[in-house]
Amino acid sequence: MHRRVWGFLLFLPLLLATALWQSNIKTDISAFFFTGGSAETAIIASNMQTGELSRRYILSIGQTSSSNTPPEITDELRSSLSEVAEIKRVWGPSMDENEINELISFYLPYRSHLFSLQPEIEVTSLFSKTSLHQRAESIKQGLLSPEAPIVKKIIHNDPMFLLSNWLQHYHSNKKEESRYSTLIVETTPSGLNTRVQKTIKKSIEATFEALNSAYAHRYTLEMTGIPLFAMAVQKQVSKDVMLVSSISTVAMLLLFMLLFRSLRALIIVSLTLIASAAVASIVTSIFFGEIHALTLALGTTLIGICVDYPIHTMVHAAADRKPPIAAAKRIWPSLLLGAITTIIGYTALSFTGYPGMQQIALYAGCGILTSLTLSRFILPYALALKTERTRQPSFNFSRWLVISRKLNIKLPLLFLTSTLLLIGLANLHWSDDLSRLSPSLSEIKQQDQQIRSRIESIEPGRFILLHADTMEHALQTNEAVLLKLEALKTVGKLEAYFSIYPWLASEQLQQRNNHAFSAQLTPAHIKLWRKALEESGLRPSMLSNAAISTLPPLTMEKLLDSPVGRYIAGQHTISADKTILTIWLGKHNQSALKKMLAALPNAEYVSQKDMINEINADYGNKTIKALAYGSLIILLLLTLRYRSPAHALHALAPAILSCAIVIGCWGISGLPFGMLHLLGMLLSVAICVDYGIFFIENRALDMKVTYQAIVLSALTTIIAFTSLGAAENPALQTLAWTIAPGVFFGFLLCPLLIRLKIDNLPR
Amino acid sequence: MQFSIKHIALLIITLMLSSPTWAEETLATILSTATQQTSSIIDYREVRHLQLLTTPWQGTGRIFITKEKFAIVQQSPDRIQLVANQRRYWFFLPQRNIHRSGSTKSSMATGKLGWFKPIIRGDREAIEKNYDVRVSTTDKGWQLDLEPKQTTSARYSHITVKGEIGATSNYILTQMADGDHTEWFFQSHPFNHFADQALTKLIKETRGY
Repeated sequence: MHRRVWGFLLFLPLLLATALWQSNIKTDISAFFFTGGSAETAIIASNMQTGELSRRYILSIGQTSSSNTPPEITDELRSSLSEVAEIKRVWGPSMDENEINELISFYLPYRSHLFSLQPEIEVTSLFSKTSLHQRAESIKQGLLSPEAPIVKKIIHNDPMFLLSNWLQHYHSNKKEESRYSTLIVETTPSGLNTRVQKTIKKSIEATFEALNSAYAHRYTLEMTGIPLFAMAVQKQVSKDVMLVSSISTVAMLLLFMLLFRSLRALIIVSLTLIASAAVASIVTSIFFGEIHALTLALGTTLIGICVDYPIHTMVHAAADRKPPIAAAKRIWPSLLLGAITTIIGYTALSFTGYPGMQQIALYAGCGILTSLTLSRFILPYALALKTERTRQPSFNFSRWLVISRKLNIKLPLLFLTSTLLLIGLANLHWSDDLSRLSPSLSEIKQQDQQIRSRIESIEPGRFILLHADTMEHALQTNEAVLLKLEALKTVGKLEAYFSIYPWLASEQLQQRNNHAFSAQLTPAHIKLWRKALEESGLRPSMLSNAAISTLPPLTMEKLLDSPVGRYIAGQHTISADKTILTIWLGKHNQSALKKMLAALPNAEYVSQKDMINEINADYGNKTIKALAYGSLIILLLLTLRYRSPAHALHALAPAILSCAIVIGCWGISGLPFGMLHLLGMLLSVAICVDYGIFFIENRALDMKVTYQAIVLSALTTIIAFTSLGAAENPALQTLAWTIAPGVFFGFLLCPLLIRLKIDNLPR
Repeated sequence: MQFSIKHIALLIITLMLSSPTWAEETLATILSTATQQTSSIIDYREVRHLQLLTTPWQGTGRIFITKEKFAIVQQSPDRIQLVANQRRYWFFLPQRNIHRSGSTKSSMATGKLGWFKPIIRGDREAIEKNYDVRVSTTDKGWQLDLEPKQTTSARYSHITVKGEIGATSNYILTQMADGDHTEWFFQSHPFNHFADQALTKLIKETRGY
């Protein structure tokens, strides 16, 4: 056995061990999370992945009967879940006494700081005779209400009951009870840590079941939240990887055994592919620190591409009377050029901006280069080992070659393809729907929408985004927007809004509130307050000592360090040079809201759908550029290689016409066509151009042998990409049903379109 | 005289020795009167003596008690309704159209209702779980003095319950640690068909559905 083969066989286990040891396969969705193009969307996406919101489950407890009463099980479930390991805290929209006390204790010192959004008007009006009388009456009512202990606790420190204004802000958006109750469960581990989240989810379900059995199973439990999406995606991705790789491997094995009828050939090619996959995994893992399962899923299609190089080597070696090394040397330039064009296609993918594509490009590039290198420098020595040479393919595919040689239908073909393309383009149903890229979790998405609609009155997917360079500026913008939102609320064009105020106000507003109180707390006003107390039957001696707190303004840092911080999770994102605040909205009139915000430069009305379309448009532009640049570079490379643009166009012609046919067919079918299809087209061109190159260069000097190799490599590629169609992930499906037909037409058109013979081919 | 002293001493010893047994029986007797009445209507007058108020505040209302349900409706000065079952309570302020509800096991509900229901219902186990009970009697009636076992979390520092011999309580005094106290005066009525209808209507109105 040749020392190279020995070396390879000895090195292969080491390579595999390294790949297994090195590989860190990730199945979570973080790598494929949309990051968006703008700083705002990037920060929001990052927050969604790692922030507090990502660790939360929303539990919706409902009645199995038609009763409209709120589920009685909720409080018990809440306390039981609080005991579950890895659950940090559980709470509902309504607070218990401890939480209320916690909130009051925290905000009592800031009662004047956060009193009003318009202190100059509201603090002044507070000290009018009528207003003071109303305030005294509300204290009396509070003392006689069931909340008397809380009221007493407040007015002990806050004799003018200023905190009641803060509490009113807090309660202003509360939704009335329904037959559903909601609990928020926050976990300690990350929501994307699916392994731990699976255990937590099971614990939540088991806890509910145990309690529900005591209620004769009267209640139902529905859940949503990022951990659930992460688990669903992980499950789907794992299933897809397993399914696609199994189908692809089995189909490839069958094809190989059918065509070559040689176990030895199968083993040789398999070892080449295993080594290619191992090198690709190692390099990708080293470069990215991990390898995503979706990369592996798409990577399995590489079997169909990487196998081309050993196939070409084997077919040419089998047909040649010279040693296989000579055949390998002879076809090497064509294989190298073909590999480079394919790598260009995959590299262009990484510039589209689609998440995770860089990883796929690197994985593919490494796999292709390794397979190519092995096919040139190891495989010929392995083929030369035995006297019984690896068999030639048992099927002869030259019939199509013979038929097409007789047909001179270049022009009619061009005309037909152009017509098909034009008809297709006229009917093309262009879709900007980015959700096609994400896994098809329609059931879980629907449940998410349903549950969210039951919680308070937030309209999902629509909010106001405020951005500024500092938190102080963002808070000031927030306050300016809130005044306008209040006006909309008054005229009935906005049902509710949920802002960071009253939890926090800008330092400027807090100081304005305190200044207004300092100015108003005059002896005359104190006298008026005493009188109001007396008239309400309250003892002035105990309540007239109204004074403002001298504490410095409340800051975001202090708020986030407190137990109160959890109430504003998801409404703020802070980076080094940008602060973003969000205001969630209840039912609202969109045009009124947009018109109102038009005058505020740092505030924008965001519809998630619009935002996704914006991201998609960005991806779209990048994809079109990648497609254009990718094709141009391939054309340039071929021109340089053949020293003739006409020859280069000839090599590209089958790929381009194939794309036109596929686009035409998609258009006529009426099915949606989007950016993913364009990505598929790009890969299709990168792969199909290889056939053009092999056909033009005809290294075997025997077109039948060359075509035989092309047919085999095209078949393996088609099988690999068709296998991808078995995946549940719609992105993989779209790629499958674009690339597989693209490759099929590309190889079919080669003998019809390429009649060129390059005599002075650079060797 | 010697005889008398001997007898008085013997009587004192006897009373001292037998008093726990006597108190035990009295508490049981007092509470059994309440437990025998599975359903009742109680008219009440509530007088709150709050240090922050210059004059005591007074309210009147009616309490409905059945085996399953419990309702208090304050009729004056403002109408306030509160109904509860074993698991949940509902609160309604008709003038402001405010509905609230919560679990009866929540700390807020326990503070508001936890002390009241066991006394009215004669739930001895619940009373003794949370309070040290002292029983005393006079010719006219009986008196229970309840001291909370958990003084830090208790809403009231002392509760006094009074009633006539052989009857349910007609007076409760709740005292808070800060000196505020409330007096409740009760008058029981038999629970009839009309009371049941009124209770059903009250529950529906208070729950809001």
